[in-house]
Amino acid sequence: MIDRLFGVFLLLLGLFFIWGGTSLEVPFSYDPLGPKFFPIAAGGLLSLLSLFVIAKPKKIVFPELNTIVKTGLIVLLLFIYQLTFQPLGFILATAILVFFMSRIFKGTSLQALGSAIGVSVVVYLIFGIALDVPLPHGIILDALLGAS
Amino acid sequence: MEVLSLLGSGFGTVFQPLNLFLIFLGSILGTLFGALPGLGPINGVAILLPICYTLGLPVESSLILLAGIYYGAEFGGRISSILLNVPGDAGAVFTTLDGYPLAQKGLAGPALALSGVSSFIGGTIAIIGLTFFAPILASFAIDFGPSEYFVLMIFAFATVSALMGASPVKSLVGVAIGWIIGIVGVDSTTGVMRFSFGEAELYDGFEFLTVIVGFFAVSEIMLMLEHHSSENFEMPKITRIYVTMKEILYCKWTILRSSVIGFVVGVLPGTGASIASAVSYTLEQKLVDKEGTFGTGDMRGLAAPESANNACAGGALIPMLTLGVPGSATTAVLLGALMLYNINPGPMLFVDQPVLVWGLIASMYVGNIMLLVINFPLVRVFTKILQVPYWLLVPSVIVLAFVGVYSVNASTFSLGMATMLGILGYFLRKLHYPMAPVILGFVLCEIMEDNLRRAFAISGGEINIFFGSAINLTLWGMTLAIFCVPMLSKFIAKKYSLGKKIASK
Repeated sequence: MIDRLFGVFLLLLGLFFIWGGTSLEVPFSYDPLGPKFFPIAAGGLLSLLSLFVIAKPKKIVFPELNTIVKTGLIVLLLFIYQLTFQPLGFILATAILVFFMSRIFKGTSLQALGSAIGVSVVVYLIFGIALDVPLPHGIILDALLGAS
Repeated sequence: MEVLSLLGSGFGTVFQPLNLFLIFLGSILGTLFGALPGLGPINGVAILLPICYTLGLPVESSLILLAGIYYGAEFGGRISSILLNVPGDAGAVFTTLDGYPLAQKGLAGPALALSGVSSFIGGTIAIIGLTFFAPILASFAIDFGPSEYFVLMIFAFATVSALMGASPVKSLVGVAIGWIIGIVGVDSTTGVMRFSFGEAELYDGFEFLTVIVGFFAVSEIMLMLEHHSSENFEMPKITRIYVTMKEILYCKWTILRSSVIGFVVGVLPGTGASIASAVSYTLEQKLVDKEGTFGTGDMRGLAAPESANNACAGGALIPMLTLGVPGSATTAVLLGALMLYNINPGPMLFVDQPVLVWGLIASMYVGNIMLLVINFPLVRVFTKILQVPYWLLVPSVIVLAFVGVYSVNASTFSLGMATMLGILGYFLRKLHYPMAPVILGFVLCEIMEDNLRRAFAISGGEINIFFGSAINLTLWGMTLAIFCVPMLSKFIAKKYSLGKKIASK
């Protein structure tokens, strides 16, 4: 079932690229083919193949509900990480991510806390300090630094 | 011998202290990434690539390090296969068949040492092959024009879809998805914006590193929930850590044959270590297993896939370096790394970048020796590292990968993109779509389209240009032939009931 559903998704994606390819506005092109052809070809190939998948779906064994919920939680944590990365700053956002991720992978609260502090600080030292990647400090630290 | 003098100059590059250190680092990190279940060479390269970039390493040094991770991981994949019966990556599945029974018999140490020696021999034979074969292929490939290039890529995608994964349809879907991701962004010839949805971050298309991290790191940790951490496994005792000369000599023909097979399989575009080890194991079983001891802890059954594995890694670099067409998912990632440095892969690489090419090749000789040397004393350390619990390993990996993605252009947009691609990758992998075609499609998309359009521009829209030259006709012939391989291998598998053996694992 899920295989067939994903096939439908692929079909829509393929059709979208065919449509998108044909409706591209090209002022002029140096070559006979232009930028339209490749999206149409890729979309065409994808929609054609997806028909095979839809016609003959395979049975897929999915994990138990518990695991699926945890998988969803991981995705949620990663999106939260993206949103908090700038405002909270690298160290705090990372610590939060690592703590909950650690819990999902069966760490005790203490182990999770240790990982959270350890990973965020060590990675900050390596990338932020040693490699000079401009990692965000976050508004809290910026405010403190700005006030002083 | 021109090759030897070029190789000599390559060793000149390698023996600079920085590069020697990077080979050492690559070997250790590669072994680690290979050994930890779920973290293959691709994740290793994805994590290390941004570090190379921010450190401002010259391109040959970066590639030496990244390639070290690649073949080091093939070396490390055997550790968890032998000790825990958990293959570190797809290529190591066959290593478990005889490696784990050996460990249970109390021969874990000798098994590790023997597989180390076989890996070394396999790797070295492949590098010698690479040294002499690659320049010949490169000089031949200089005659390739745009139309030949395009047909060559058709051939590469045909091999990928015919040989990778269970179903050719799903492999081809992977190729199409790779293309679709590659199309996004500005069209380089006309400046027309394609599928960027007015999003400024997408004008240049998907960032290479974002795609790799999404498809491999993010989807991997989602899948890791279903594996079990190795902390709960009973670790076999390691007593004797060396292997006797007698044991090595017992396997000598197996090692040599498997190395050659692994190398040849590696050279074919689109095949990988898993196919190399499968072919060599099945062949050895047929040739030398008179008493039926394969699968119960036969030293030869361990030596075969391990030498093939490592020989394959060397062989896979040939199409990547000479033609710009990678032989596996990991070499596709290495190719992407080259492109990040604005180096155009293809036959001109040998002419334009001799320092890079020969430095890389020479570094692999040194790297293989280093791997062999560090593996004996450090075997106990590596087995300890295998026991790193998931609650520390998984968050560390994802943070390292995301910091790398962020560092490319200091934007959190890429982090969200990586997560979304991770979800797509999770479903693809869950539904048995092989990932190598996706990554190949993505990396080769732009080159393929450029060559297609250039060829049509040359011919003025005539399609005949793709059937004109002898090279094109040969490539079309090979493409047709490759579609006969799956049928043939299905036939062979049925005959020797290879399927049962894997299914029972």
